[in-house]
Amino acid sequence: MGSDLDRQIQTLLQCKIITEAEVKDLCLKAREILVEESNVQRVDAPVTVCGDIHGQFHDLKELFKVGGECPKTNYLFMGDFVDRGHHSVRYPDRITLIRGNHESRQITKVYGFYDECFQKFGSANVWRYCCEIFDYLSLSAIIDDRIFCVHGGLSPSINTIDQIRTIDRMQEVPHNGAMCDLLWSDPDPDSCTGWGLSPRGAGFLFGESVAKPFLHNNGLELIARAHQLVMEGYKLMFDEQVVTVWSAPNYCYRCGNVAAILEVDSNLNREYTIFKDSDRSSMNSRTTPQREGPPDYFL
Amino acid sequence: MGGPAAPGAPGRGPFPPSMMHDEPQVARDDVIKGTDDDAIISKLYAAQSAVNLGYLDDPFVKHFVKRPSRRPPLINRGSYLRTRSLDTFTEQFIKSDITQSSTTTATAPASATTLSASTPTSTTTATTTTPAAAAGIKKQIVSLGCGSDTRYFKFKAKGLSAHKYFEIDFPESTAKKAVVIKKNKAFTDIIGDPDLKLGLGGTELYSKDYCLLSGDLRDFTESIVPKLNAQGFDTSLPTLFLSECVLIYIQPGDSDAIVNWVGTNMDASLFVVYEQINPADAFGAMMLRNLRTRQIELPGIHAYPSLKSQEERFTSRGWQAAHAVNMNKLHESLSEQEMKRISSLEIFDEVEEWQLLADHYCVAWAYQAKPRQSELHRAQLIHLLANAVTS
Repeated sequence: MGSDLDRQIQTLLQCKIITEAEVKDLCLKAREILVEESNVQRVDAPVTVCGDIHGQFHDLKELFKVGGECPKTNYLFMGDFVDRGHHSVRYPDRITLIRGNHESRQITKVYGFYDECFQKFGSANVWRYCCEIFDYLSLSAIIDDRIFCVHGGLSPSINTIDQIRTIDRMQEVPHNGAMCDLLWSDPDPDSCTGWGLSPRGAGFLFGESVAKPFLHNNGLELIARAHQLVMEGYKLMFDEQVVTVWSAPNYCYRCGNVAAILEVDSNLNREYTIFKDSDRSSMNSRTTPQREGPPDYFL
Repeated sequence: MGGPAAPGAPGRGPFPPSMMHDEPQVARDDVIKGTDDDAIISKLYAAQSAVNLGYLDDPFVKHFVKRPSRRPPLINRGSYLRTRSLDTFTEQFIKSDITQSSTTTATAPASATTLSASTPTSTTTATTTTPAAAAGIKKQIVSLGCGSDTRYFKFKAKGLSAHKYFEIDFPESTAKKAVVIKKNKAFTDIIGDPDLKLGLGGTELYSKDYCLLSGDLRDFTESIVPKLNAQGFDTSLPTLFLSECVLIYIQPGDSDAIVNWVGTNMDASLFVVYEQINPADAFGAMMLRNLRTRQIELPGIHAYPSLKSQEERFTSRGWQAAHAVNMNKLHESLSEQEMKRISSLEIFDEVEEWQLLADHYCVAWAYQAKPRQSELHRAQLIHLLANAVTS
């Protein structure tokens, strides 16, 4: 079994696809692991915290080059593994994964993962297996009881970490409520009132006056989150108590941004490492058919 | 709309540049022709996607699209905004008239570029205003690098039309368009002219109020203007010139020649440009790089890289008023109700990427009028033009 897995990893690392049956098998194994996980995963430092990947597989390999190969380095990925890029149909292994808003049936149908699965495997089965796994993904993580990691942000229905633990997470991401907010919300530097409406149509905007008490009441020092494209790779807010980490360089092969990872050492010291895209990775991979060519513009 | 004229040998005459096999430029122009198609198809599919999802109402675009495909939400929203914006200018221009003899010279309203065209869902009020528009002063519209644009048909179907509507593009583009129009009752009924006929080897169409002309915009004064004149173009009539991602594809010297000609020769004109800006930042540099992999160059973007320079393109040539806004501004100017409507059409999770993209497209307008007959007449014309850009 172990050698099977190693072979599959080798295949995937070459950016080739494994069979539908293998995907199904892997998903079943992954489910056994994920089902045991809490809504708030405990993670020990040192750990490297990463933001959105969005199927930019070659850039993920770049990330591992910069951050150290897995499993030597301990990784925490804060969601949005799929969609947008051309290679969502590949999986990192032995890493803590938490759910992003794109790990959802509805969103993957609009933003590319569904189409990619259909195109590469000839049916929606692989997409279906993956979506089942998405339902098992944890919602958040806490590093050494001090750093709260979540894809989007806070929710007006959540004041304590324990409240997150009580959410029934094994479902499609709902359109509202605590689980939705954790995956969809954004910090808002201009907020005076605390909570605001999100332009995304889901989740909320949360201000400093909400974030700081949340950290204080839960004995935390930092909220690390992803979800928003940041041209500089990461962005600190609210007196460095909230950080956005973005790990998809040149997002959608179009945005020209750099990416970042956050390395937290055993004393919880934080260091950000910036990296660039793997030199037009979308262009130099021809091993698998691609659904689309270069990114869209208005012409 | 798209890439009608990239640099290279000008394709004079009725034949596409790619058919002139004796030129060393052939290979290059073949690429340009491909680009031309690529750009037109890209716009067309984006438009059809936006129509299918309910952003836009356009029963004509489907006749040009063989296999419609769903585009990403951000592309749908952008296609919707650009179309809506240019529709607004067109609608207001058609409806605008010399109402009272305003003796005060109208000045350009600063907040002119907002979006107010009727929504697809609302029943249009256009028909009620038709008699007024028809009875009023005659007007012309010239669409430069029209591609497969359907604006003439969309508006006439709503009872809104100008005295003359001219469309111009490369012959290989107009030939395809002419066939679709000529063969299809949906189009010929709108044109409503029994004398509608094809010309110049099927690359042109002539009717009473609609003319599709073929040519190279890089050769505007020498080759396009005579064609316009032959079809009853009248420089004394207030005329709207539309350029949707067109001037940017040609060398600034050639696009400046068009702006100069219009400014010098037209009694009253409104010029509306939609195109890319901000080539120098990270997103802009990547945009140029990505387009280059599709053999698309934007020679005009370096000459007019900012909102300010887009305005100066006109003001420095003596136009009375000019204003440019980026697509983020257009987006913000949507009414709460309309924002709610389009937000309900599909999930929109590309907020930051959208803002980046929208920051790299602008709509610029400018107008000018000359005192050919009297100062009063000029004031009236300016009043008309200013109305077209005010909401």
